[in-house]
Amino acid sequence: MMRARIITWLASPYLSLLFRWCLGVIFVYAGLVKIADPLGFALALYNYHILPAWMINPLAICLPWVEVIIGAGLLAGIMIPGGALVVSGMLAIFAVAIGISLIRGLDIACGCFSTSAGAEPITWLFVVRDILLLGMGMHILLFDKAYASLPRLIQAQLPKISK
Amino acid sequence: MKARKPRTGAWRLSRAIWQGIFLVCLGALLATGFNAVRTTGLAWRGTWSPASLAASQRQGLEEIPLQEAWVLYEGGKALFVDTRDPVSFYEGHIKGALNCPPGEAERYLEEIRILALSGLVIIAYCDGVDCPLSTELARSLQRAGVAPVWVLVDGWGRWRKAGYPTEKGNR
Repeated sequence: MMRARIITWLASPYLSLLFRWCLGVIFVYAGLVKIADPLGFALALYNYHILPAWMINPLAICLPWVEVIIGAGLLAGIMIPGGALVVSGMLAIFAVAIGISLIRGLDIACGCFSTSAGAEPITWLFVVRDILLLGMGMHILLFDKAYASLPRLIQAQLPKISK
Repeated sequence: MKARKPRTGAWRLSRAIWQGIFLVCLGALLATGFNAVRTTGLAWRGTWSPASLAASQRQGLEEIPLQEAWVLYEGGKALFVDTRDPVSFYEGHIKGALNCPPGEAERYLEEIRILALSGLVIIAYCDGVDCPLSTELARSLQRAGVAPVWVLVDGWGRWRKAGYPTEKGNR
């Protein structure tokens, strides 16, 4: 009985809505910070020493905008499965990149929410944080019912307007 | 009337993938447009090597040669700002330097501004030719109206090698 209740609660679309808003705010904020300082973000990417040089600038230009678009989509409830899938993919890649850098002993800034090279250096807590956020993304992908989504709200208003 | 097909897991995954591709393309398109019109846009092909990196970071900033920095130090006309982390600073720094990593710029802004107004030349330094901390702090200070801020490239390493005065501990 208790177990069934816990499972129902964990699979709740309301919990998914909460995760959607959390990830939405996080990704919009993270994207805007990087858009404001593309060179700083490119430098943060370079410091990981994982990417080939030709990939750094295109990624520094495009990734922040993808983050903002997907974050805004999650907040507004537009293309939720696609947004959740990309967010989960990105978080998995970020977690692996930070993990590899920690194993290699690099003392670098994350470049996640700040483009400053003097920002707090990466630790295993960053990996844990990304995995928790990845869990949120997967939850949205599996259980979201598009509550409080803009398309649904518009759809609900249309018959009233046409009357 | 045609019966609606049940939405399977594979259908949902396929929809998520297509939506994901669309969102990524939309983001890339907006990024390309914005990067083309903004004044601080990045080149699509960047040269990423330690030497070119150090040069690009210092663009628009004033570098000070070691000898000039030493003359100012001897005359008591310079404030050296060590931009490295507190532990490195504790282990050794230019004698009389202030420890201010870029993330702490706001905290020390007023102190540095007053010292600059009193006539001291502000010289930021860190360790290594490709260290970005001193240039980053110099830019932050200049944005906050403290100008000019000079950068002593590879300041800590060159200062030590030259045998100029250093000290240990916190300021």
